Amino acid sequence: MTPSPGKANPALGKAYPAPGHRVYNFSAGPATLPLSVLEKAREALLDFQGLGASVVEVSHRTPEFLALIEESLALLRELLAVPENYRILLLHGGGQLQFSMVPFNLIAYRPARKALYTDTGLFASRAVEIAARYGFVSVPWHSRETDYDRVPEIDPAEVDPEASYLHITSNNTVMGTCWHTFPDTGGVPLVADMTSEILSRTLDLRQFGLIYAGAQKNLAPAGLSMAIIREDLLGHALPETPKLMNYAVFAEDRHSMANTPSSFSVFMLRQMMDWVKEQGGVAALEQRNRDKAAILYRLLDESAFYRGFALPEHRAIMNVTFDLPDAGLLKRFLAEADGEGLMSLAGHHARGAVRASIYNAMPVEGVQALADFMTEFQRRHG
Amino acid sequence: MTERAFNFSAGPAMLPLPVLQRVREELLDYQGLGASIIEISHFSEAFTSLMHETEQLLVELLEVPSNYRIAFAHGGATMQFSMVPMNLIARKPARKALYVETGHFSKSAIAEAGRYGTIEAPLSTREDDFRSIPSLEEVETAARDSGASYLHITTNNTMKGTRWSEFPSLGELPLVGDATSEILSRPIDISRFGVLYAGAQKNMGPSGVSVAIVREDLLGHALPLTPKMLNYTQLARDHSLTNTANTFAIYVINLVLHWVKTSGGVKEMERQNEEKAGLIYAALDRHAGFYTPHSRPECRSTMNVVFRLQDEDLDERFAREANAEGLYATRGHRLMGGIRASIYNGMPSEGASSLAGFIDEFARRNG
Repeated sequence: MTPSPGKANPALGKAYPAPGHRVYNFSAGPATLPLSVLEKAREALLDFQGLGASVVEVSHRTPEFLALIEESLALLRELLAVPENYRILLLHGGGQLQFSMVPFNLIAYRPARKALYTDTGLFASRAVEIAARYGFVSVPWHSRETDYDRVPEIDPAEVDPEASYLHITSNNTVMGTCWHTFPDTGGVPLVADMTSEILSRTLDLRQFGLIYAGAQKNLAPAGLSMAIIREDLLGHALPETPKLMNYAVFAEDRHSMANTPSSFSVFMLRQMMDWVKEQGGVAALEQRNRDKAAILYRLLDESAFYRGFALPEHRAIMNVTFDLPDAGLLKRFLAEADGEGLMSLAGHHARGAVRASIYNAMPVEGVQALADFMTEFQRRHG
Repeated sequence: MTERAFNFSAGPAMLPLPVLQRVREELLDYQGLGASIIEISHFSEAFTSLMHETEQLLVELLEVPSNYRIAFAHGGATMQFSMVPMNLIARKPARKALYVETGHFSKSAIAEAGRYGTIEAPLSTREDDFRSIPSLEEVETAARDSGASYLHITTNNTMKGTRWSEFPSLGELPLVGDATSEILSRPIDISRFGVLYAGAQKNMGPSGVSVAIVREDLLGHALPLTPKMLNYTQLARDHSLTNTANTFAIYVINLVLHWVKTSGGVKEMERQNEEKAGLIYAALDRHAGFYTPHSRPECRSTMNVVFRLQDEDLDERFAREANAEGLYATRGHRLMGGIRASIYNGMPSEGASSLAGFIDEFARRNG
């Protein structure tokens, strides 16, 4: 289904697509999903695998549901090339619950109970604030002084070897920056929040002790998160760790379940992994994502009208952030884009401006439609 | 498509057909937005108003008094097993809580709470194989002058098929109730509770979410290690949008609450549930000796009918043949065995009468 041209809805006072037509949705998360995945969900809503019951009505202990989990875990392992000594965990909540789970599970990994954090934007600073409840947290690296337009460089010699871990936010959704290469942290486990870029580019997981991601960008609908942890980091949880926040509890179960999971999210994860595979896997998606981002960044580079936010060498592939010359034009840009079926381009409320989130499920055509709109808007208002 | 079965699963469980049909219809395009409800920001106007309406519907249907706050959280009732002590145990300096043990899930709640303070379980029906509920007098006596921060009960025991028909009066001591498997199935006087909570996947919607209804004066006592997303005060202040909510589950809960309302509300649910449970218990009682209900008659749950046949082979045959008749998922919990028919709000009365008919027929053929 292709987006239809917007049609005015006087009742709402804004352009409005015809019912049943899908727009290009640039929401930062929950975010656009592949149409084929949504259609599979629709099929399973009344009858899951011929059971005469919906996928959301069957027990998480049925063979049919357990198979969904086993297949999802196997596909994740394959698609992300997860080494044997790493465990894949499916967990509750999203990225922000992980902000507590990481220190609950890892801060006691070394007796000093120290953790090193990098502050590269809104979610990175939230992770710092939350971790501070659980131990000695320091932030030796940040990009606050340049308004988070980049990620800092980490000199391996400056990494305190007594630290239990070093935390980075690999892609900064709000700011539109990302770590293109990852720091060498020596014997200190590197922990990365990959919420807004998991499965968007190939990774060498051996560089990390732990990666985690909320589902609602590239994995599945909201209400689920995933962690991949090196086995030797399990078993250090603080005694106050809630059962459902203890990685080891989930690692002990072959299906990564400690209670009823968000079963719809798990079903969708399974469909998404199939879709990723059909697209040619992570390497193919990475190429497509780089092409998508390049369309927009080229336009920003060639324009004196739009002002890209991130420094070119730190630009995110998933979230493209930029501003317009003034607030009036910004407002007009967002309203007109919406009218053209280009939805949810407003920047994060803490930041404003424009943010185009172009996750795996955003087709090249959607990005091209946005680029065409930007060119036309600039022609009219530049 | 296979014909829709009568689904007796204990949870995730059968949902009202009109709700599923509606979800299906608008899954690709929510209210003409051109995007699915699961693809839009939790801060969008469409979702925040849905969240607000969901909270209001719950307040209305459960007649929640104005001095209570609603908090939706991630993770189901098991997460609440941690949330309750993390939020409440520090109310009193002794950091002590009383738990009543009436089955599997109350045991799990006790084990989890033990991480956060001194947990006492002075009352248990373990000796009775959890066929009953302690008397209100026993509970009230145990609670008196206990110095505890709260007393926890499991209002309906999913695995054992028992329930509290009435609730104790504890004076100053807050009563905390896990109503996971019976919320919205009968009117409950919320003002008897300090906190009433429930995982969603029985009577409210899909799994992955729970809701807590918390009396305002109990807010503000969370332990310093409490994660934001587990802190009732934070969730209440943010109207449960402290982080990205499980938007699909909240959306379906909203539709289920609308369905309860248009079906006549919680009182009408109770009438139907008593009728449904009555049909099944009557069939079991007609063949007493062939079938053995687990619960003592005065403690029987209207949500989960738990019983055994004479041996495991017969249990298995019963479940298998029932399944062939379109009566799906009647096997008991894996730790319990036997048969369990969960008949939540979403189970139509035809499902209960079909099962009652099958119970009669199976006894005739095998008795």
